[in-house]
Amino acid sequence: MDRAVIAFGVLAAYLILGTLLAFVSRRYLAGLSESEVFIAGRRVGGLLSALTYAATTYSAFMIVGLVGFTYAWGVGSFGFEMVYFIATIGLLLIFSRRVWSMARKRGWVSPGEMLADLYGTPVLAMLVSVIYLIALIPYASAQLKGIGEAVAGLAGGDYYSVGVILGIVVMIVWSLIAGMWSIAVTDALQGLWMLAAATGLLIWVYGKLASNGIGFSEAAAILSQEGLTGLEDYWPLTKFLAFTLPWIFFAVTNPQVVQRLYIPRDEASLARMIRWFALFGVYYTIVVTLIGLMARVGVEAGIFPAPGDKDEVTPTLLSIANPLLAAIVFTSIVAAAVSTADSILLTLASSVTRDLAGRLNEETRRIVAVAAVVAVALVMAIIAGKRIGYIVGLSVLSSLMLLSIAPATIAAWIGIKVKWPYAVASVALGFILVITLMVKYGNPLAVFSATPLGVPVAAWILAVSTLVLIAGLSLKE
Amino acid sequence: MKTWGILQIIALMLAYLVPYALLYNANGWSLYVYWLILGVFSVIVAWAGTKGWSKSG
Repeated sequence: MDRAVIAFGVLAAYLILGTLLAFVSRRYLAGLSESEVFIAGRRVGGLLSALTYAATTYSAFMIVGLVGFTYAWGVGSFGFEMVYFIATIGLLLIFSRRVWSMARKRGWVSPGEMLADLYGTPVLAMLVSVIYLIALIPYASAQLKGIGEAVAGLAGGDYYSVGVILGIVVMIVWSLIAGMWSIAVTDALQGLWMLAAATGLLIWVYGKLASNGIGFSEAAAILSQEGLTGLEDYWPLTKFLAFTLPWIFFAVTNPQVVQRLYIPRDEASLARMIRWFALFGVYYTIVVTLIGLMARVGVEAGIFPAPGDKDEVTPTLLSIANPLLAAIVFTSIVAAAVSTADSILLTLASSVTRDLAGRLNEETRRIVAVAAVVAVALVMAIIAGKRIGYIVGLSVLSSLMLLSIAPATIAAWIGIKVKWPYAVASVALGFILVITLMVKYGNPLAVFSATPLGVPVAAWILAVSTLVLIAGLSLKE
Repeated sequence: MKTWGILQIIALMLAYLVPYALLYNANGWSLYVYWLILGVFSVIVAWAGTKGWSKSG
């Protein structure tokens, strides 16, 4: 049977299963209050919370981008992702209980409301909501672009738009069926699919090497010969810092994951969320990075064809893998993109409704919420439809755009009192710095890897935002 | 909780420092295994650090 037919068959099965699960999740929906729609009424169990946290966090970047990173830049890429993971576990252990408890007591629904409440000003909520929209719409659009490219890769270039439209329809439908409930349940399906697909691909890749007499020690020798087992050739300290600093604070700055701290039904569920996310994260990172490293070994040994560039590693493997495995992995790429993008969509809708729409009655707010989901999704589709590489650059830059939110958020979580104008200035100045540098360099990726005065831009943002906060602290009456 | 958080911060510092101090030119799997151990350590800390969180809410 034709590979494309099998791939679309498996994709259809995933879409039907996900939609069925989304409808089943409606039984948990208790009314249409904003708390119910956006954060599932704070009644989500631990395992489901963990799977939606993981599926939201780990986008299509992992199975496409990180596989390519490890293929091209070696073991340092594993360190880059592991540093994110270690930092996230630390942040969750230190702050999640406090944030979860305060969200419940003070009725936070959107991440912006948290900052507005802790600093006593709606200005901060409005500011961060605007930053979320600017930073995350390109990020989510890049996920849609990924779906379009995957579909086009299988069915031909003309089908790119079909992939984007398919992605956007799935995101809207799965968001509107039962809000956070349908998102969380479909995330669970998608998260497990991602784990299974990556595991299958690693077994297939390693099996290919083993059948050619290459084990772990031979693989290490080949990787060492290419300079991929250390940091010297591909990961100087400034590059490592530039890549890892924004991701260390991902759990604090990205609203779609901050909002997930509100959803567990009790402290025990919050604990289970952290535990199962930890297992998911470490396992998925190990598997994905081993795929990249083993793919490189296979190419160097002449077992696999050489990909055109690092983003082509996974598609190249899929082009020669067992058709059913390739279909499952192809669908996992779509699943990873959808699970990240629809979570961002719902979170952005909550920001628009709660922080930007102003004082409205309940019925009007409900209409605004649905309109926000559809409007934000359409903007994502329009941007993705342009199919320009610039979107991917902007999505990479999103982590930098959000970084200035970290110092003000952490200070508020710790309980440090800073006057609100300084918190606003702290967030705004870091963001303005990124935008200014983007205008100066004219290329988002150049900003990401730039090192003014030998220091990565991420470090400058953190320094500027933190210093402004400190100024607010010392001037407090 | 603070203890587990501090352990994670130490792990994060080590994740940066040790590779650049000792494993910069590593051959074989040593750098990979080093980060792998830190990752597994983080999972253990996540499980141990959330032990006893109450069911009240």
